Amino acid sequence: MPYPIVILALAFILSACTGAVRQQPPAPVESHGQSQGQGSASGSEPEVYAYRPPQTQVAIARPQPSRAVQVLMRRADDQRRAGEHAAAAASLERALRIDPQNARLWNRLAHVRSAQQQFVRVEQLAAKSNALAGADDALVADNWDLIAQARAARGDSSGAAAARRQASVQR
Amino acid sequence: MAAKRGGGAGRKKTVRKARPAKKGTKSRTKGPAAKRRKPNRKTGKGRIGRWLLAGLVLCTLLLGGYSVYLGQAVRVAFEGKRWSVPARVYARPLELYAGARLSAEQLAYELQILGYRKVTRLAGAAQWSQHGGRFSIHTRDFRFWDGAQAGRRLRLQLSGGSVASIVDAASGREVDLLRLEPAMIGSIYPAHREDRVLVKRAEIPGHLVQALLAVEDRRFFEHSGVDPRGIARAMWANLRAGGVVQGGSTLTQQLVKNFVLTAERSLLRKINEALMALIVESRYDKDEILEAYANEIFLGQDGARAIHGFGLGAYFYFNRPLHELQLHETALLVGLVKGASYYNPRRHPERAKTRRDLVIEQMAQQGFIDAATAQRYRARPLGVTARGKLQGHRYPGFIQLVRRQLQRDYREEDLTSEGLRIFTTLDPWDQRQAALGVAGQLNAIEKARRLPTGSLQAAMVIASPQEGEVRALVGGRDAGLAGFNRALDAQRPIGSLVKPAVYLTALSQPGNYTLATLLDDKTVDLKLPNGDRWTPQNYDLKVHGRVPLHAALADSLNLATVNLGLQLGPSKVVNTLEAMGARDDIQPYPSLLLGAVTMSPLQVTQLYQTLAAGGFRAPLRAIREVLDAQQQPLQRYPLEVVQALDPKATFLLTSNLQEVVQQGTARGLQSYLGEGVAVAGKTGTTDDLRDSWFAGFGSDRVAVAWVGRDDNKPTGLTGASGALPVFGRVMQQLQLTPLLQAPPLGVEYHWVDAGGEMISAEGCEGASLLPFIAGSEPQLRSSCAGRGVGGFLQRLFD
Repeated sequence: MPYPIVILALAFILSACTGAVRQQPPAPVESHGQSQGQGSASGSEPEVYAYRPPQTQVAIARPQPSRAVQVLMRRADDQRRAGEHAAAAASLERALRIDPQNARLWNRLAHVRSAQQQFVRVEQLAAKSNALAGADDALVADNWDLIAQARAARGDSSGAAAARRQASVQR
Repeated sequence: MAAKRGGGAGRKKTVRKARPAKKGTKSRTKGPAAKRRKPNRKTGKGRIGRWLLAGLVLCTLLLGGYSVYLGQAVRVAFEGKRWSVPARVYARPLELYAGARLSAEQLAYELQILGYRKVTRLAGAAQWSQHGGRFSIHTRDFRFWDGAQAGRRLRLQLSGGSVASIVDAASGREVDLLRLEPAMIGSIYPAHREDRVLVKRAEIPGHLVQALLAVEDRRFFEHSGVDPRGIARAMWANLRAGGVVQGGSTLTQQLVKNFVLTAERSLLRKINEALMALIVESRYDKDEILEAYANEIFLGQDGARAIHGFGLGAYFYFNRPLHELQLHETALLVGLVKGASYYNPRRHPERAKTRRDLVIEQMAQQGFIDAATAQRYRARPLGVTARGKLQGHRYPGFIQLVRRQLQRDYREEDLTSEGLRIFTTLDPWDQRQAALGVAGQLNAIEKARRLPTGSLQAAMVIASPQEGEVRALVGGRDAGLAGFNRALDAQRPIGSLVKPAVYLTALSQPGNYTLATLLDDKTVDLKLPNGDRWTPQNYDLKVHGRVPLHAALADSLNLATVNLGLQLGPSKVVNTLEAMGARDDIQPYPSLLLGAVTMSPLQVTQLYQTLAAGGFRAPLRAIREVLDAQQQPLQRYPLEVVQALDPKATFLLTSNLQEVVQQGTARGLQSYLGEGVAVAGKTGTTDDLRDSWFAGFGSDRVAVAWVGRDDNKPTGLTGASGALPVFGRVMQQLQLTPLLQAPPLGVEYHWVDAGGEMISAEGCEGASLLPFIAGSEPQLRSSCAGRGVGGFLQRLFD
């Protein structure tokens, strides 16, 4: 007797399952900063949020400074490799003024500060990167690694261990 | 005369020419009576002779010594004064890249304050032209703190309020990123208020030298310091012209007059002047003298600041470097040499134009330029910028903040004498809109409410949320006035602006409080330690009973807040405030819960910056870098952040603050920024309506506005009717970007019912969608949640 209902229900379930309601975007680490800014009108992977109130789903035209930021990121990388850490930090700070919510930039700045052995700043910047990283697991893991190194360098071995555990959870 | 002396006269005559002091000898050759003198006739003669010789030597020595003394004074003046250049303060450079939000109006303004000349065809550096959204710009060379950027020609296309493309005109290639040079916004002067923009001989335009020769010192390159022929010529020319058209003093004499001597007018001074001019000419060559003259000549007075030198004069009158001035502009400056106050082009434009035209005329008469050129330049308007468009007078409030931050790291002497370059965070466009908005809105409020004109005062601070850079600071309704800086120094009770700290404290305990938790908006009757009874009221004098937490904040209910705060414990609220960046001496009195704590607008901005940055406090700073006179970095002010608050709780609070704007006490903001706009805000009103506050943020700016009276009398304004319109007006002009914050991991949205205790679903009655820290959402499901289609799918995929 309930067969038609069951079949209907199964059909329902099937169709719902195959429609991608919720999935992790692969989001390569480099472009995460860009995908943050795109509203639902983007056409790339759907976003990971559970539900968003109607107001915030209005697609707001935001600047796409990707090229400018990329230029600065590349410059910072070159400067870092050449050992010009202060200059690399200046380039990244300049990029952050253009795209302040770019988790990748905060992470790179943390790396520069790590090379400069400014470990308090490393922890601050990596934490900030994490707060903006969303579901970018690789980036979050990298940030926790930085935090672990910074804590270890400052003699906080238990803190460092906790951070390393966090890093492995993300991987 | 000769008869008296008798025979010896002839001989003496010849002697007299060589040695006039030997007059004494004539008495000795008086004839036979002389023989009756003592045999030491020769010694007598010699003694007086020696006295006179000694006298002569003494005079020579004195004169020589005096010259050496004068020469020393000259040297000290010449070489000592070269180095007292004040510290220069720069605004932030404008970054240009494809996608940058930029309007044509803003770009034109930025170019204007840089002193770029608007032309129809570009002919050199520091010029621009515009056809609709298409800009052609030839930038200047500039040495930034991280390297030099050569000037270049660009074509920039604006479209839809953003930069569409930037192309290098020479190569045709797209430019990915470029900074305009930062505008010089002020100087930090030494105590004696002297200022210089030093120019080298090579930087002095040829037409300026010609103008000087034409009207001040025709034979400058030929004479030796004093020019009697020049004096004669000048007298003649002046007689013929019926007025003073040429000066008789040489440039060297004028230099000496300005440089070394005091202002008394006496013969002695004139003699000194002439002597020193000779000394100067013997020590220094013409180019050095001209350079010193060009850097020393007095050209005007700007309040307490004296304008010396053509370099500074060019900026003061024309807002551009000396080498960019055109002939009619340098002619004006040369005309000022004669009397900077009398010919002040801002006070006496007609006199100034007459004088300038006369200079141009003299240049033509003496053959430096032809008649046609002279006519062309005489026809040009003065071209002087309006007063106060320069350096230090437009941004006194912000410069004061810069000084305070520098004083932590530098001594006053280092700042004012070393030629430092200070690169700051000021955004001139934000500052302009803030200054205009504050002044305009206060006028509007006074008019609408029939308040006495000028009775209201205000302050405003705008900062960048993630990095804590201060973009604009307005210290009073007249932003250009250097007086009491209310943004930094007006300590006022913050009223309801404290409430987010109370609610954040609650939300940081997700086990006990969520946005849906019901609070008690019920009577408060508290006995204070000093025996007084405290019975605060809601603004509408009503008691609302049980209200959800988010509604209590949105409507700024006093009773619910006090009851909540007492449950949490005021000292916990103090901890939250300190984490947000408040000072560390706040007392945990119950009255704190309604904002009986004083802060300045800048301090309040720090609190809201922490919220806007998701709980990461970035100490507000006004300086990015300091370079020394050799362009080497002296100090960097790096980006600092401190994770002070839990990002998840901060997200919930920020979401609640958006509700304040969409439905709560700040809903008036929507008429400025758009209906349903996603901007966080909080109104603040104090007792008897003495202080009106508004604090708010979008994704690119956080700002605080305060409106009140300096004498602390009530204004009759609430936060919503006073400070909110100031904020709204300014942010509308700046096109504040709304919030587009993704919830952090661990925060989820759920539909909850009106009672806040049960999960509901979309479409159910009284349901609202709220963010929750994972695990803190209600566990019970309402029946509606179970039945609806939405509920079915939700159950399936949870």
